[in-house]
Amino acid sequence: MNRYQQSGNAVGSDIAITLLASKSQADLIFKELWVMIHGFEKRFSRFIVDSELSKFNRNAGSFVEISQQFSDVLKACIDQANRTDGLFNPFQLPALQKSGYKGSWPNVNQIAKNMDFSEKESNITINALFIKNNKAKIPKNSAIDLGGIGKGYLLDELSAFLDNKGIENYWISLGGDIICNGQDIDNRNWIVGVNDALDSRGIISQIESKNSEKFAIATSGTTKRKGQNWHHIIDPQTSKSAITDILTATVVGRSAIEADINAKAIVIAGSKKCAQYIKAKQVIGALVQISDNGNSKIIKYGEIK
Amino acid sequence: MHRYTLERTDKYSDFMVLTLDPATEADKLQFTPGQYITVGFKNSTKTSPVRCFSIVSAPNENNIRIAMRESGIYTNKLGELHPGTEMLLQGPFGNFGINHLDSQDIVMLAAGIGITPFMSILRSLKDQRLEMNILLVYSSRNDSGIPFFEELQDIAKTNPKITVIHIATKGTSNPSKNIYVGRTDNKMLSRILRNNFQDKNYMICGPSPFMEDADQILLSNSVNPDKIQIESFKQGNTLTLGSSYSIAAATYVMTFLVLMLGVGVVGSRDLRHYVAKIEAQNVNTAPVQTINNENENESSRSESDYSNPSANTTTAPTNTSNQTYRPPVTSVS
Repeated sequence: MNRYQQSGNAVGSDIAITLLASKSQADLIFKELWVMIHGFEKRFSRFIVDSELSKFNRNAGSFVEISQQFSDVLKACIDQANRTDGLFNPFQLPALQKSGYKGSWPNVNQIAKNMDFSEKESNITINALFIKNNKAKIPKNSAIDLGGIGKGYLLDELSAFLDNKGIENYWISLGGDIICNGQDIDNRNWIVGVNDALDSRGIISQIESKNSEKFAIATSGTTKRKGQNWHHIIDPQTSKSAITDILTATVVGRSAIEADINAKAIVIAGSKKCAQYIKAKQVIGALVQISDNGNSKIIKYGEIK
Repeated sequence: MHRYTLERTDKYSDFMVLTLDPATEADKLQFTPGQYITVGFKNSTKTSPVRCFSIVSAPNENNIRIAMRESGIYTNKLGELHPGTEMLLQGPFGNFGINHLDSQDIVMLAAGIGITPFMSILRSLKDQRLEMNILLVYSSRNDSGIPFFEELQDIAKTNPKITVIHIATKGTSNPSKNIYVGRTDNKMLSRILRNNFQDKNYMICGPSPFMEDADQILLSNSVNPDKIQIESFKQGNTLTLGSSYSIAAATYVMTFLVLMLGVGVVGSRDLRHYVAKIEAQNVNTAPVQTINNENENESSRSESDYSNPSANTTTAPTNTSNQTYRPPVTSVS
């Protein structure tokens, strides 16, 4: 058994997959994982004109037939919106586009007319999303973005796939959101570095897995995918780029979807309210990097020491 | 397909330049400065894999020149080719270049062998009356052996509108030659631009981390993303970078996809095997193949200072060897 790593680019992110397996097993599994990743992108990208998501948004107001995977992601949206008391809300696409993030990063201004929903409403709650059998519906004057939940969902799916294939030791990174299981080749726990928000080459902390158990880490923040007077994390309470002093929030979770959503919610909450959120939502651990009068400050919560 | 022959190979301390002559007038490739081509070669009856390289020469020159570091299997093989070898070129591709209708000043940020598209652009502008000022900030590892150093000095001397500043990671500053030791970071760029990042067009080319950092520096100084052009040969990143050049990205990806679909993909392990076969000269005709690197920092965009073990591709992932294993790091994507 050896350690194999492949990297590539999809879902708008750098992807790295590392696993311990035999060569023939690794070759086969990598192939299937990439098929899953590219299939997911094709279905859920808001930048692909004929993605299931784009078609769904264009048919807002009517019940639209959806795939099982699409239905599962929509259900996850409902769960996460309820769990975060609305700090996660998929109806923020119009606000995100209005703020300046229309096209695929960094070509933020380039978007086809039939994919521009910036004139629609974002002030819509999750209760307006209906799922019935294999169909779903959103209000006519709305559009959803699954970017906030997609990477987490996909990571959990890839992880479940590896578990089913009997791969016990692996880690996958989708644009810096990571899920780890088992151990490295030298029987050591996986150790995940946390990137410095102010120095792309810097590491401000390391998080180690416990007893080879599966764990997920996600980082969200305002330091990338931003423009003049905007960044990509929209506060559903204002439908504008979140006003926050948090540069990045790194969260450990039981699942990638939970870590991903919690990281975004913590950024939106800001440094004054994030402790309350972390406690209320029983976040396993969080590391928050804050802008403090031009300097950066790091605060650790929960199991991150 | 444009048929050329290798006229000569000029080897320098850290890079080499291949000069290619068109086989016939009809084979002559028309391009605009900043564009790139795919290059393959024929050895015996066999056609090599192809690689992408920016054109270094100006369009008004009769031949085409490409430059690269000789640092991997493919480029080593290119370096061994004899004059007269048949070269197969496709293209041109990409839209990286200057907009002559826009008279705002241009800041070019280059690193390592990422200088290549700028060389073509600057050569073509050397004798032109320019409305805008052009500033090239060129990052290199050392203060000596900088690719095209003398020629850049000559271009800047000839055209008063063109300025070249060299940033070397190691060495000694030499203000008389515009060489400064340091890194092309926010502080350095702020000093060079005197904190005035606005009302300029920016062009970036170099290894990915350099391009990402430069892009971030510009955005953090409130430069409009529409004012930033990024050129990358990394298929995946070409889609996600390149503030104003989705067409170039799409073109390259299309090129890549067409080649992939038409001819299949080999990993570098296959390539090594393939190169060994060429050396043995006992093989039959093979289809043209598109390389998917494994642990090769040999593309015309790579430099070890900024080396990144992961070569991103849209359609084909890259294997990483144990020597270049990348541990997990969580960050904002």
